Amino acid sequence: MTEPNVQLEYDIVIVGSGAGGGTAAKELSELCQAGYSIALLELGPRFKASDNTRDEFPMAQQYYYSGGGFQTQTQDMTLAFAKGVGGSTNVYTGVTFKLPEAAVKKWNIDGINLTDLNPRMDKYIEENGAHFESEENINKNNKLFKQGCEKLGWHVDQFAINTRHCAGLSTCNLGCPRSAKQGTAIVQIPAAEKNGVQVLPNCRIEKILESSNSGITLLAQITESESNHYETGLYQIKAKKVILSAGTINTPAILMRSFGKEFNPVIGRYITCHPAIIMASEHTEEVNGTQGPPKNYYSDQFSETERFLLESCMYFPFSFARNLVGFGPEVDEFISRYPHLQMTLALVLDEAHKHNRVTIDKQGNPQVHYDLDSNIQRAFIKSIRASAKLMFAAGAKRLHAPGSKHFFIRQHEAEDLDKLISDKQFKLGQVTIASAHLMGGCKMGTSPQHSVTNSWGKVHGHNNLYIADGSLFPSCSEVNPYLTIMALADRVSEGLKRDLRNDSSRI
Amino acid sequence: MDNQTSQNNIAPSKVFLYGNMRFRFEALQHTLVPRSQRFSEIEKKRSLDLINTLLSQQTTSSRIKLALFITLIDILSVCCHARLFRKLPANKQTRVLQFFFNSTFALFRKGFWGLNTLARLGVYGQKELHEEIGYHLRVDPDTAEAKQ
Repeated sequence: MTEPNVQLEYDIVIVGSGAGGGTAAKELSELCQAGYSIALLELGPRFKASDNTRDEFPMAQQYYYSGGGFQTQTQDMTLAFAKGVGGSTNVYTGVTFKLPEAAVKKWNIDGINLTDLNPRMDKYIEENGAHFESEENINKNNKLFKQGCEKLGWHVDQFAINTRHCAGLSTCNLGCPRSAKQGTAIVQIPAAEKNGVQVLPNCRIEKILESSNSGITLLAQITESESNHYETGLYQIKAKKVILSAGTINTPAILMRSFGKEFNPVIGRYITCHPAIIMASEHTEEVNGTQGPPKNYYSDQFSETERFLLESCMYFPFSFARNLVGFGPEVDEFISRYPHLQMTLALVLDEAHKHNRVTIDKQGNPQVHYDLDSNIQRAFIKSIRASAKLMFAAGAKRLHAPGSKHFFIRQHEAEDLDKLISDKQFKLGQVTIASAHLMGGCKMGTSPQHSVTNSWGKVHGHNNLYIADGSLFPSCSEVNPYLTIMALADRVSEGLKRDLRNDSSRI
Repeated sequence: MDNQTSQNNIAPSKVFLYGNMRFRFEALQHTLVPRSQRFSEIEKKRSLDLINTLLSQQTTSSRIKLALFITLIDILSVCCHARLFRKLPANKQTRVLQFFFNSTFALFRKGFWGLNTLARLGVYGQKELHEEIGYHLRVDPDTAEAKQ
């Protein structure tokens, strides 16, 4: 690698601008008034709402890392995570859940509890405009989900979504052309910039060159100068404090590129991701899932007992088509019934295992090893049966069921779902499994033997290095994770400010 | 191609579907996604552009694996039915693909999944065909107002 051509110096550098980095930038930006210099570095570009065409393929290419097609090493699961100022908050559906008590209890970390996290989560619920959509704005696809659950006597509830002036365009997973969705690119980052934080898009962190008690030196590559103050090329960036917020895949990768794969016994390990399956069914009348906000309801009826969560959902033609098991005319015909299709999402609440991990290849690129073990497969089969029951209860006349003997199950077969959908028919590699909730890899804890950071996100053995993103989760959040990530980033920022005060008092 | 990256932007060494490979793939696509049999020349080109664009972003090793898998399908076709896949009657083509789709070997199932995904990208990735399946996006009221 050639020598860096320029040196930059800041007091604080934040790497990554999603739910974690964007939040940390805003929370720390008040320090700019006191003379601190802060930079927010982002791997991807800065997007303009006016550039959003809502076309599926080009927008997926634009917003997502690897165009949304990043696969695990065993090639049986696709991971969706984004790049660009705002990170994955540009492409989530804005589903806002507070971390459940059961999940935080499992984390079992001193100081991390709902007493600490709830006020932080409440702050962002307010700041990011999370609210319950009014009944008249909820479309039929979502209403059918609710009806199905109610008919079966299952617990069903509405979740809040964080939008303002939403026109119900439904293409949330392809970014928002109206900036209605209140991600960090819309709320936290502009506030941080107003206070003096400098944002550097198109900036890839190659590695940490030095981490000492006096500060951190990063080696960065600016890949495009278009929207930057700086030319393309290699830069050495020095900072007193650095926060890594590059997410579950890239934060461990940066640490491994910098300090080696063995610098911490659990680096990259214990990742969880809520592996998910999309189900679809056909109704006689039009469902029109594209008209209105795509997601409003969930059922946690089986969260505790069977370890899966059901949510209403809507996907675009190709994303949807690639989820259908099988091939040939019947699949084509089913897709052509698009306006009549109800869709649901089943997310498995996976356990954190040491062998599920991020590593890097010889070039330093991240690789994900994830075993869809028998427990996950069992949960999938039960979730497919449950989704099928839900959709038939809502009036579906036929449905597409992965893990069933035939590609499709018809209403008259509804009584036989347990027989038709079985472990014998559920084959990895045949069923499309995807994940958009990436968690863990740099878990918090107390000892360096069992965790990467302490409960304030400070990396063990590195006085000036912090982590603030989903990689901190010791196990899955059991719900959509962005609000929890923001709450943790708020906590990390609080700790960093306290450390800065202590550092200055020592001088 | 308006909003979609054109094949012209892909380095020649990374264009996967051309020449013989293109015809072999199209025969597979016809069985996997029968809608593609009705494609006009423009639709065929759009399909190729989408797939080639996606494949150009994958590693060389992924493209080699795909080429090997397509060759494997031809080998099986020859072994079982004494003809290359594209020269088989439709029912036998379905039977060959069914073997990979439902194989006891996970590797074959994964290869099939990748191929099927690409075939679908070429069809359902074309926004011009969305009308045909009834995929209608709600118009942004602000954009509509601005146009008026």
